[in-house]
Amino acid sequence: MVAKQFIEETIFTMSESSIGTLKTRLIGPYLSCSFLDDNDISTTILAEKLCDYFEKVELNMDDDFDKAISKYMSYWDDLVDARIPKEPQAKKGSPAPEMPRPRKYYNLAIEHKNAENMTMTDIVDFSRIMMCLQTAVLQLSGNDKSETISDFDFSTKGFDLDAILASLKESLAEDKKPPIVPGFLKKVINPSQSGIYTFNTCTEIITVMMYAFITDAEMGE
Amino acid sequence: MSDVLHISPVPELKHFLNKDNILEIVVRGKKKKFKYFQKVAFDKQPQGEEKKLLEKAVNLLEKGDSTLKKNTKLISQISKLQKFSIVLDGLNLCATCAGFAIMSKKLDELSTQINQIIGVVKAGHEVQADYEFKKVISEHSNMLDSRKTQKYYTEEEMRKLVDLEFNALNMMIDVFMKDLTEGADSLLFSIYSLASMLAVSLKYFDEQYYLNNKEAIKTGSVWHSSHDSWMAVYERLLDPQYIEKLQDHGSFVLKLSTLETDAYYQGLEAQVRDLVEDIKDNQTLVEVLESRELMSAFDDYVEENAAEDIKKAFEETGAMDNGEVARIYEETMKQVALAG
Repeated sequence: MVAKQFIEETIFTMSESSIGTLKTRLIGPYLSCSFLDDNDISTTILAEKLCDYFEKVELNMDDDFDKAISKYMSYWDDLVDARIPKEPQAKKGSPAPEMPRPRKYYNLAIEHKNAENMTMTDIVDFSRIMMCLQTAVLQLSGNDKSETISDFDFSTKGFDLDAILASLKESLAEDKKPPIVPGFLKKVINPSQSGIYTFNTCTEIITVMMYAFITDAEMGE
Repeated sequence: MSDVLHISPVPELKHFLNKDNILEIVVRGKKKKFKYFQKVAFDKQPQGEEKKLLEKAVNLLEKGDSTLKKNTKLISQISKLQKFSIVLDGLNLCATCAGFAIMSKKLDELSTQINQIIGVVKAGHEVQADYEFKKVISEHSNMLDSRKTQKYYTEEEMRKLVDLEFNALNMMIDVFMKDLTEGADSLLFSIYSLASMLAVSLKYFDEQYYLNNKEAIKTGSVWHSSHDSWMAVYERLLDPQYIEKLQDHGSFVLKLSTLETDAYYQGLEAQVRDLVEDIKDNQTLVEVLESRELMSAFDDYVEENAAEDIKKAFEETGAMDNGEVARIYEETMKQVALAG
């Protein structure tokens, strides 16, 4: 998938209200305009800014947009995986135990992640399931990071973008820490791994876009 | 523009503190007709120019782009749900002989399978009640036919039909919740058909019960003592655990995308809420209008209004000149029981 297609199928299908959310979340923290006032940024201008951003990421990371999507999915998998109950093992002579519901949906999300020809539906479905699972994780009361969820809400009602982004950023920050190496092999951090034109920051932006898209598609009555 | 409905005696309406109660019901009734019309019209999925004309007409109906865009986006994503579109319109189809004929043909095809599923569960759980799905369809059809010929079911006959449909519906929900994966599609179709049939029967029963007994009932509720427990079956269809099973069915059996699954389970949830609202609205109307003739006149009034507004919207687009659009319009109006 190329960035232009991704932007076309998200930005240009959303309602005004969701575009407003995107502008608030992206302009300032991630994107900026040198001459235009925030109020003058139309949907088309926002799309152009995003297109430029993704192009810069591709140049900085020396890889294409497909890689950005792949990293987005890997980072989300890293965030959620440990909090999903494991597949139960069947005991000899006993009927196979029922697979926990979160695990069923997690496996479905991974199928989308591993799709050979990634489509918009794969990205949307992966994102939706992961956000639902992560929302359930965030609602666990304890601090035990090994505690798994027993169920989750499939609807988008409980989504809290601030909480989702905070947990994602925390997980991405752990990924950024340089490995501990002996002094004489002090690792020089590649300058291209810092700043906003990285796959980490790209993941945050795609998360915001997916959140806006998913919560925009409500049943019209 | 149709004639204004004249309700007499007018002083009776003063029983209601808020006169908007009745206006609200009229508006709600009309909006539901539009909504059913939209769903069925888009299910036809015409192509090219015809589709544009149909969209333009529906746009005029709703008088707003955003609702149309949302509906179009979702409806274009539920291509796999076409076999359930008839369920989404079950409310209207279960209320008239012609409409129910469409439903009962489909239900008849499923009845052997459903009876087998029920049989398996009954055998395993020592269920006492004896209800076969085929019997339920047959009884409902007979009840509608009796109304058509004005040889109405008695209050007792209606109560028995309500009980029959209520028990069958509960049984089917139990079966679905037990995760019998084979035949789940047929089961769900039957559940929502039965939910619609029960709503129709309950409305007719409520009307009869109230008009027969209102003088005799001095204190307490004017409705049958089992009314609340009958209505409780609709709460089961909105219960979070049941909804989860619907979502799982959509995602893993029908293999819908997440957006399609949303359209699927939210559409079914909305239908159940509509059924509950209809039953309650009907109770309000029965209390206000207090006569069979006025009830019938009211129903005709809402339908006539909706049919006229839809026809006018289509005529304004010039879409009726297009043969394909005119054909879809006629078929749709019949399906939602708005044609004369």
